[in-house]
Amino acid sequence: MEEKSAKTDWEPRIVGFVCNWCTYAGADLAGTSRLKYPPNVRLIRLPCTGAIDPLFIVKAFQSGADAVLVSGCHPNDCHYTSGNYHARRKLTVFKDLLEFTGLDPKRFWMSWISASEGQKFASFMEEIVTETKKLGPLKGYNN
Amino acid sequence: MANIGVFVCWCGSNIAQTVDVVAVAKAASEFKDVVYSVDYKYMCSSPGQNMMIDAIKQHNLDGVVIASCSPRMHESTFRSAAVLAGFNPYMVEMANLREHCSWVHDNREEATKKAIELVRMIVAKVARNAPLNKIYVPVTKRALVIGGGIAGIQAALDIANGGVEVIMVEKEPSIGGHMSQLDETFPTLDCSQCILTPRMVEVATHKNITLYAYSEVDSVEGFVGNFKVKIKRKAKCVIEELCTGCGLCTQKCPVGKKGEVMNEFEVGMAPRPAIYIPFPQAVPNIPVIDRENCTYFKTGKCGVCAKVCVAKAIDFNQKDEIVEEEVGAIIVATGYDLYPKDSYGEYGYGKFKDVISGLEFERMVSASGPTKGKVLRPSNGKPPKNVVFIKCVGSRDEKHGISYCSKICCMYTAKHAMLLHHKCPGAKAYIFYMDIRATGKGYEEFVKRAMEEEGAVYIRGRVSRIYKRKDHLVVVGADTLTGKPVEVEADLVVLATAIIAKDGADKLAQILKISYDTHNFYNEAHPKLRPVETNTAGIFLAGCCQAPKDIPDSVSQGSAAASKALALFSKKELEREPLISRVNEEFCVGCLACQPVCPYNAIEEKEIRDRKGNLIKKVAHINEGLCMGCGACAVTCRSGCIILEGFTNNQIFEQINTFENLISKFEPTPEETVAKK
Amino acid sequence: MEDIINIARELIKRDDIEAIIGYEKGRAPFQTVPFFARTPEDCDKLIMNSLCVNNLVSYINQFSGKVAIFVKPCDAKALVGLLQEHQIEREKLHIIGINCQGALNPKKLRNAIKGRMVKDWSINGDKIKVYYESGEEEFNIKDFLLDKCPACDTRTPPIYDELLGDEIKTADLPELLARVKELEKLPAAEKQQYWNEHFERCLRCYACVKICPLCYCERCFVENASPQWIDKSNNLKSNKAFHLIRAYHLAGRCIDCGECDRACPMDIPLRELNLKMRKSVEEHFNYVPGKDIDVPPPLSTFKKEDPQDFIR
Ligand SMILES: Cc1cc2nc3c(=O)[nH]c(=O)nc-3n(C[C@H](O)[C@H](O)[C@H](O)COP(=O)(O)OP(=O)(O)OC[C@H]3O[C@@H](n4cnc5c(N)ncnc54)[C@H](O)[C@@H]3O)c2cc1C
Ligand code: SF4
Ligand code: SF4
Ligand code: SF4
Ligand code: SF4
Ligand code: SF4
Ligand code: FES
Repeated sequence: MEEKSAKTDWEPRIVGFVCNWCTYAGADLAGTSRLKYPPNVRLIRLPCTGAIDPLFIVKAFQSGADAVLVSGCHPNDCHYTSGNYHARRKLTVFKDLLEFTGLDPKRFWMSWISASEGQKFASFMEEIVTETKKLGPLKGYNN
Repeated sequence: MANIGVFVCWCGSNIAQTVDVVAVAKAASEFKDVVYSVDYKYMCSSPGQNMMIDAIKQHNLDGVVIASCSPRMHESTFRSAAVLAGFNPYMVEMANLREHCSWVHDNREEATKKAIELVRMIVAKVARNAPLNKIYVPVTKRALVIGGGIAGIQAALDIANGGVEVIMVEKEPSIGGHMSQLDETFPTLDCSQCILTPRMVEVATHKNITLYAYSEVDSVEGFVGNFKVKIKRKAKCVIEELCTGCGLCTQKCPVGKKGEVMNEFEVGMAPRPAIYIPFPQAVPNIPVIDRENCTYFKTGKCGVCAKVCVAKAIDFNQKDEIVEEEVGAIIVATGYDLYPKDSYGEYGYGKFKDVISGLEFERMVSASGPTKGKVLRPSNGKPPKNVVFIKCVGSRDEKHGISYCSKICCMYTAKHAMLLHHKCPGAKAYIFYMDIRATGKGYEEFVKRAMEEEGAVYIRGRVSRIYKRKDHLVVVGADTLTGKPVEVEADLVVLATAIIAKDGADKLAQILKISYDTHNFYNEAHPKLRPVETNTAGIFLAGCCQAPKDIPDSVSQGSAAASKALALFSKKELEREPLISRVNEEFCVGCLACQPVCPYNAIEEKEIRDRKGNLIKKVAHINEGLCMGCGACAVTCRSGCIILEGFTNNQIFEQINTFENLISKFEPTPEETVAKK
Repeated sequence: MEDIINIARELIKRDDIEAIIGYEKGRAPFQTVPFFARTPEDCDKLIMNSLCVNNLVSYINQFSGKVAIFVKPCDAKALVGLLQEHQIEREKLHIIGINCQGALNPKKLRNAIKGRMVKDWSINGDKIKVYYESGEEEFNIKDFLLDKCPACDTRTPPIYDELLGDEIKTADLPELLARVKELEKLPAAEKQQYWNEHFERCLRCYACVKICPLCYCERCFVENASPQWIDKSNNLKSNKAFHLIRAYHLAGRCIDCGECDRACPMDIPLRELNLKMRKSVEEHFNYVPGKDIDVPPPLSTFKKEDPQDFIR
């Protein structure tokens, strides 16, 4: 704990893999509604959550992400009808593996955020940043 | 070695107020591969776009990053501008500095740092972009319409009038569907046959329409623009070309005289012969032999029809026949069925003769129907005094597995009350209802008329049971408005039975590879924005096969589906976005893990053979006419044999890699410099 | 032994069968090797005992015609996976099922003989007899089983055309996932330490991938060079990525033959990762690999009502 608070200049890095149709649009809405959230988040836009490869998540952790978010359309709403269901299955298993090999569950997040949920997007970013700050920098992927 | 240009937009003050855009442009100029970097007040304005175009030429750019608003806003703007400059549009990407940065952050320093990072990510991506070209798929200009109810008829006529050939396949001997069974239609009470028959005839005579009645779709192969359809034409045992439609055969056929075969069209209220035309206005007006009930087919003897036919049109040896047609689009308009009699024992349907369905009532009031338009009690053939109508029979009833509202029963029950009033003066209508849903144009007024002018008594409540007392039926229910039990002694009870999916709808869906819901109604591609498309490109929906609806809605959907098909036919080739997935056949092992993942059935197995025709291996193949670029298959392939153009692993990895060393500092731009710009 | 030779001799007479895939005795002590019988005489060399540990299914595609193959439950499970994943055509196979009460771990046996020269060995019932230059010694097979065997619930192959003997039902097995559950209880940091220490030692020799019956990819993701998916160099960072993705690729597919574990020169406990994936897929999607050919693999399908407790 002391070690972490000593590093005052440390800011968590959050990578979000999001689908174009819902969560990316939800983040756009957060913008048009001028909601505020911490600047630690970088979104990578993909067509659908179904297009998010678990390897992207590993790569993100390796490249210094302290937490990773995957987010897309609510069930039934996927632009391609089923990408989110496939993503849910694959990432359920992969998340189990990450946890089994020692990743804190609070470093991998998944959510359904629709194009109309700008508020949910903003407050969720706030929460992830807060939680990640509590955990401190991620170790064990890069070093 | 890329030559990337970065264009940082101020968006007036929208971005510039919180992000030091000048510093962003400056920082970007130092990124790998960036050869040109500027900031500008409004990139999307035409001077802004021209600036991009000029820079592409001047600096020989092969990649462009517009750092401005959301790509969901202006990606197409900048990509189109690129095309004007002869530049490959897919080499243009956007960094979202407005919605995802300046508008959501307050701290100028932090926002600027983030903006620099965002630009760097997109620069890294563009460096890995590849120029892509639109995909063109040839289109066969011919449509298939399955189902000849009003929805299918409308679609077929619209397409045919648009100058495109139509093949219509109808399962029954005649087109017309349920509408041909109706008497008068709400909300205007115009005669159903009078408005429908001309359209049916138009279908039969239209030079662009080929009608296959008494036929079904057997198989469908191919994809949008290029379907190959096999149609099974059931043997009519009547040679169409010879038959004059005189109907002599149907009069002489000995079958049906004792009521052993009942006419489906009359909902079983009148008999029909084995060789029959379902109703006088049928199209085509050619009889068919119902082989199951024909004496000749049963015993080898009879042949009366053949003897009386002057045209020599009867052919007992006719066989079912398969015809093949190529079409570019398919419209499914297979309509609905009604909740069957025996499933509603509570109300004595199927048990008491005087409990009938709405459709039976409809035939009864029809002038050409089994009772010649008179409302009569089936039990004794006398006119009823009191008629009880019960709505929501099966509908909105989880107990019966039907959670949905059948949508039309409120209206046609009001109509029935009026028709009763008109055709059976002195008879009284009692209507048990749960709600009244009268949401169409003129509908509320229509119901009001039934209540106020035509004397229908509306009782809010569910009927709990019906029992027989002497010659009458006693309908027992509770009036939920007064809280009191009610009992009506009725002579006739009419049930507004639920609309359910057409029998066999699921099988047809499997042939077409379209999806259906738990009630077997077909799924539209998007409940709001793509209501007549299916998830299978080139296949559209019209009418009640998608969900219960009335005639105006069925017709609108028919026209909508037709316009979708016509749009598809408007070009020689179908133009598609190249942002789709491709299989690397060299390494694909044909495991087909990818296949079930694709929501559009775009993936099929392909055999790779050498010159001599020996099988080398089997691989997955993605049909570029069908792939929508969702990327689910690419992620499913373990060995990475599928790449999703526009979002390749290469591109995504590069974006992720920029995280390894973050920009920790930038040089803030002095106020004066900004002011001068 | 008589049985299998007789069956084989009958089968090879058939016109449609090109070869019979089985085992013969190898040169090294306790070794059996794959053997392809093409003539009736060849058939006499065939053996089948608890030292027949290699998985034979990977040899099927070397033949263009139809083959007969002896399969133990483990092989049969792999076969189910390969049929399910379109790697083998069912019509080209005649499957002879062999029951299994556990297979011997040759490594463990070699340790037990403490470096003495082995002249020969023979298996009789639940005993193995070892003949040295001078003298002989008898061991109980059940003391030398492969790790996977005691808890294995499949003693009769899930798929066969003919079965030698009767179907065996199992009861009172030790808990298969005991070790996984134990590891799950560790705090995150300890889990990470445990695995990182193992991953760090990995040589990236890919013996585990090469031996796995379900790792049949023509190009494993680790070899994918454009772009380089995973850094080729051997360090914790890239080793960990390799291990996470390898284990994930076997999720819902690994049939717990234990071959990877056995092949690893560094004794990295790959089976623990595989079993974790097995547990996850079974828990969430109620699916166990290696049972049914006709269902699609669990990570290629979904149910609308799949659990999503962790999703916000
Ligand atoms: C009692 C009652 C009264 C009604 N009154 C009114 C009213 O007054 N006003 C109003 O607006 N609406 C009314 N309706 C609703 C109206 O019937 C429907 O809106 C309309 O008929 C729907 O047309 P459709 O073409 O979708 O389906 P349908 O009329 O069911 O036509 C479908 C056609 O497809 C054919 N078909 C089915 N499956 C296949 C297949 N596999 N291959 C080939 N062909 C196939 C069928 O044989 C049929 O010809 C009433 C309905 C009922 C039950
Ligand atoms: S990208 Fe999506 S639509 Fe295209 S083939 Fe793959 S799964 Fe199907
Ligand atoms: S998942 Fe990959 S290897 Fe398997 S068939 Fe599809 S493209 Fe080929
Ligand atoms: S991962 Fe290991 S245990 Fe599982 S099937 Fe492959 S080799 Fe066998
Ligand atoms: S680890 Fe994955 S990519 Fe490599 S061979 Fe096995 S399944 Fe294929
Ligand atoms: S066999 Fe062992 S050492 Fe070799 S790559 Fe696999 S885990 Fe690493
Ligand atoms: S498009 Fe948003 S999850 Fe599929």
